[in-house]
Amino acid sequence: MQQISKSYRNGEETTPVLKDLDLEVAKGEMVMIMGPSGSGKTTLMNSIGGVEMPDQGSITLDGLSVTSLTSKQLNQYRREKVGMVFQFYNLIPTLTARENVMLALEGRRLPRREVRERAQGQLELVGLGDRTERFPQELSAGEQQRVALARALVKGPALVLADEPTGNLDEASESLVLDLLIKVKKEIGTTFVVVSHNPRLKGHMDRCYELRHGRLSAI
Amino acid sequence: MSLTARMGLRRLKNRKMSVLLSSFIIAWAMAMMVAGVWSAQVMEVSSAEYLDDNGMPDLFVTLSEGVPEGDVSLSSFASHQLRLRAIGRASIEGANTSVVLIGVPDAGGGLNILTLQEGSMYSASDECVLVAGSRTADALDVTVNGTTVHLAVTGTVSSPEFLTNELSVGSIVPGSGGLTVVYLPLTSLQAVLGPEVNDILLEMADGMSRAEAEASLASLPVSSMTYREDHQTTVLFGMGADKFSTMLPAISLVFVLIGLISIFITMYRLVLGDSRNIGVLMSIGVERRSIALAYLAFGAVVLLVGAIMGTLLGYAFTAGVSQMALDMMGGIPVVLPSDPMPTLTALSFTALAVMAATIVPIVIVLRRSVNQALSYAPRAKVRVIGRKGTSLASSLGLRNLFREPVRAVVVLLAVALSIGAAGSWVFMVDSAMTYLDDQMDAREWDVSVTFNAPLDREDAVMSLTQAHVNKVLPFTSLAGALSSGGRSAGTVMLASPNITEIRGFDFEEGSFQAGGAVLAKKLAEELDVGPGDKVTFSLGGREVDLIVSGTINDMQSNAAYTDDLAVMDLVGEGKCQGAFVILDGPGAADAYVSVISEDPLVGEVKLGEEEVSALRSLFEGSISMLYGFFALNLLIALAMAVLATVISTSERDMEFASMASMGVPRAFIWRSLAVEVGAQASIAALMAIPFAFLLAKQFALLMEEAVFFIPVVLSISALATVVVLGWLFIWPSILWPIRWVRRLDIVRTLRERSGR
Repeated sequence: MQQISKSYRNGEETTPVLKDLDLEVAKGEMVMIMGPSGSGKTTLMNSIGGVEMPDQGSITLDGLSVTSLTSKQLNQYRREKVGMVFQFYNLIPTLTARENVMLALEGRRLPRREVRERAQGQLELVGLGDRTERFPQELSAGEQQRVALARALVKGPALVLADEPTGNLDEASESLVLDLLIKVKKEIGTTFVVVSHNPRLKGHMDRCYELRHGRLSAI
Repeated sequence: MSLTARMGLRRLKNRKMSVLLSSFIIAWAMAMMVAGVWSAQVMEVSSAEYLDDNGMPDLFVTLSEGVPEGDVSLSSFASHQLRLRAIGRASIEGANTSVVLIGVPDAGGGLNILTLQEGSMYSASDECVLVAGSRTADALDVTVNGTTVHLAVTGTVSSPEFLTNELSVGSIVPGSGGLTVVYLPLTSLQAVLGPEVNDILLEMADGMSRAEAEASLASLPVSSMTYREDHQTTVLFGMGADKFSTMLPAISLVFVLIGLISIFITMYRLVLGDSRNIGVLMSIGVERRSIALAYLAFGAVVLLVGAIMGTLLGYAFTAGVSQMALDMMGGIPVVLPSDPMPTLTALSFTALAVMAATIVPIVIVLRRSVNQALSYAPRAKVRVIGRKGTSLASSLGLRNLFREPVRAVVVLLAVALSIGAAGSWVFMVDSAMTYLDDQMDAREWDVSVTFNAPLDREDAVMSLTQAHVNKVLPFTSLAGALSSGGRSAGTVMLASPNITEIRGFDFEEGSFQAGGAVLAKKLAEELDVGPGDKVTFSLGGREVDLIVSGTINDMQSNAAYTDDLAVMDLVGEGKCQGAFVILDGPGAADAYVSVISEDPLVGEVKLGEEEVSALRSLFEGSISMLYGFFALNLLIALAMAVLATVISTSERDMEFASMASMGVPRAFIWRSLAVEVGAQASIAALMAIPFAFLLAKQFALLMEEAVFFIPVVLSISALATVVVLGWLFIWPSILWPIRWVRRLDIVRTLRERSGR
């Protein structure tokens, strides 16, 4: 990310959120961004994830200039390059765990059987091989977050963005999910950018930054 | 304005579509109710005004033979008009056509006023005017009693006795059965037929009873007496008014029910979705009553918008329905009486319904404790639908349709009910056409012949028996009154010694007995008689007692049939008015008709097949309005489906935003929505079948009271029409969620719904 700036307008008032922000994350790294509420963490994540565009600056992932993509290309970018994990999981309640994971492969033109097998494999990786036919409401919070993680990972993304992945979990579930993130990083070499308030995550990260007044500082 | 009321109104900003759709459904129901009550008034006022202004006679009398004008003494009546009537034949537009000639005196006593539609009135003895709707020509060479009369046509007119010429004679609607009706100076016709009259129009004196009127006519050879109340024009007007005053309010009740459901589910969704806010308000001590008032704003706005739309729609419906109906009845002028009662009545009824549908869901949510309200979270009750081999988009669509099973069922019922209400018209139209065909199939004859004057029965048979003739069945058709136990009704009595060979009888009750009478079911109900009861047929002061032997369903609801020769003899002992002819084969009909048409004794000749097609086209024309209702009512089905889709998709904004954030292709979302809407359309269209059938049966019962009997049958074509058109009408409801998803702000939704 180079020279990223973003501000929001509320009537006449303009509130800068990100100011000339630079960040480079190496492949396979796990980077954590901390910061108080309203500091712009989610804006930063959304910008990297191609959900919203910065006002200025450029974002490049695997040599692909995200900030110059069209709306259609951005959709493809979200579908193929990044996986997102949210605090409240954002699973589709009318799809089973496996179907939620399969949903991430929609539009890839893969054989149905392969899609099923890959979804099954991801769910086994996150320890939910025996819960594949459960609907989200039949799963615990920790299990739902693991399904969300499987959904993010199943497409083999270049980058996983996790927004408060443990923010809604109890301590036991939190450590399960955290162990899982570390396991995936080690075994698959997935790159992670994690946004969290949780100081317990800090020790497991390669680098940590604090976002304050629109700028990142290493901590 | 209180803070809570302000809060309630602000919440409505996000429910504009729901408010609009609910208001539309309510407005439709209200408009139907207004139109039903008001258009009945319009019909009554317009028809009464027309009949009074145009000198509708109190009594129409036809004589079986001509009598000299001087022999007719009618001093006990307020006014009268003596006419001469004859049936001739003329070549019009290349076709040999029957022509009804009516000689009218210059001073008509203000009775049966001829209203000029086009051209000018006749002024010379060789000029005439035609009843509007007749086959037209500039001039006619009419052959009557072997003499050819040349008449110049100066214009077209309408009159109370023949509102339009496109309708069929002998059926329940007034007209000439496609005959050309000609009015000409009485003296011109008398110059051809002799100085006699055979047709009388009468205005009864104040307080004159029917018995007195009939006694005054006892010296005349009356063959038909029709009182104003029994005349086809009056009956038609009455039926029109009755039809609208019973049918439309009944249908409106179905739409009120659909409106209730739409408001209920919208309101329930609104207050349930606001459960946490309500919990917060309760936790800070706001009274439940104040909270309820805030949400009542929804009902109030729906009612306000619905009432405004309903009043305007009600006016438009009334004006449109009345205009259409009165156009069909000969284009009589529409008089819209200014009466606020229909609108106020409909408004009160809808207001009650709206407020009830609004209050009930509020009460359900407000009965919860503060904790229950605060901790409420919507949870989908997911059912495993479509697993093996079903695509992900299909599974998602089907499960979303049933994610709230109770609501899904209620919505499906409401949509099905609205398709059913619309489809009931199709069932009725289809049944009516089938019934018409059945009635026509009951006809056993090929050609019907009416003589210019009653003829000896044996002579009639002899003169009509020619090559290819299988059988000649003499008949007499008399329009008189049938009475029993103090009740009386106008009736058309068909008498023939061969009555069972003229038509088939499908008995509702009883059977055919020699010398007995078979009555149309509605006529029997009006007289409160059944098999074994005695009835009296009276005509021109003469009476014949008959025993009812059976009842039948008959399109002509005032029809009666007998083989009693005493009835036939009312036109002269041993005589008949005409005969039905059964030929060896249908191929011989044209040749036979052209031969007997030359006979000077023969007046009118009709081919059975032509009669069927004339009736069929008449029926098709008059029921095209029902198809119009079908299409209009399907709009309500669509509105209900859109409302359900709006509610269902708007509560899934987070799911759509999540899918968008994952880069799930829009085509996938469209497919799942298509499956959801398609399944809803399919299930609702299938569920609509029993509704359509049952509602058609109910409406047919109401129609039987007002118009005529239609046995409702379940036919494949009607069923397919309802299902396919119902299904197609639901599909446009997919446009709203597609538009909504396209416009969905992903970032805002993700942030707002996850509290970021």
